[in-house]
Amino acid sequence: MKDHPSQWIHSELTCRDVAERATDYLDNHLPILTKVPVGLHLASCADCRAYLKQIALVSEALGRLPKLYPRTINRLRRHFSALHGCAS
Amino acid sequence: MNAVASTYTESIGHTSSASRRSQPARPSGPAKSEDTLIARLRCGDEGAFDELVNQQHGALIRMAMGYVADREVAEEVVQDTWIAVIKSLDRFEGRSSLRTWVCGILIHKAKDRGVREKRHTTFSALESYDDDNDEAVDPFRFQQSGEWAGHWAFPPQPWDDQTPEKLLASKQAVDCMQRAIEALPAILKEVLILRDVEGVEAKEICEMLNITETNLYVRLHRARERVRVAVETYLEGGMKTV
Repeated sequence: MKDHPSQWIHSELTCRDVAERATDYLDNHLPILTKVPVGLHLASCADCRAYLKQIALVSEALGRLPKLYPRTINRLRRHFSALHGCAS
Repeated sequence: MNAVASTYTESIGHTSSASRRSQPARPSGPAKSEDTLIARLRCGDEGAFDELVNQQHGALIRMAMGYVADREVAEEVVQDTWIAVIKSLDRFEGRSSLRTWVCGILIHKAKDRGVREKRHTTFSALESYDDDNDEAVDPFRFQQSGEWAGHWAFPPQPWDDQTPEKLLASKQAVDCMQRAIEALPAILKEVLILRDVEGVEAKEICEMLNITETNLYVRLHRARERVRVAVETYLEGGMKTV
């Protein structure tokens, strides 16, 4: 969908259009001419609101996944100290 | 490929999603702290090295998994990356961020190792992936024709009582998400790990991977949708057994 005022005024967004733009909308990456009709659609579509909420929840959960730390950091530290000296 | 979490020492890392999402253009604070870290590294401060490794190791492992056969090989690639970082530290000129530089080394080594291991499926998936191909959401879920064409035919069932905390409290849900990440094609996995798992700003990811923001958001949405589908399948399976 082109972001031209004539398209904005006359086009109606479908759920498919909104679903494809969910990440752009959540990350505030949409131009205003698209963001407004997406917001209007969401205001009246419970299914799309549910979808958006799920994408947001997944994104947030991913950010809290358990961190992975190396078990072999001692070997790496020895390499580091050998090349760069020990400041401590 | 399962139960890989038991091979690592893990601790829960809490990332504030609010701070991730509302990050402005890079302020002097984080840039200054990276300058300080680099200076400490060059002075041979082991604590600084530990910080750097702990900050980035998880992302590197997850990204390497997109290019090589298995976790063991990914570990080797990341070890090689750290060795290369240590050896090349004096040559780092600061034209990019430290993280971008380290990731660049990782991607180069991972791709090289993937080719040597003849992981043609991974590489062909990487090379043939087209950002213009297909939509993120399965078109089957929408009405194909008629008055309601484009509207949900099979809408998502609300996850009313779900929160990130509840999902993460379930080992099965966490495993489900980890598996979904590992099943992603490399170019979707990279952006998801960097943006959502590691909280890297969009602009830095684009610089690191040499892609446009449009590419980034197309890939990110596709990756998020695949993980969402995996979680949806898991939750619906749980609901059916209740």
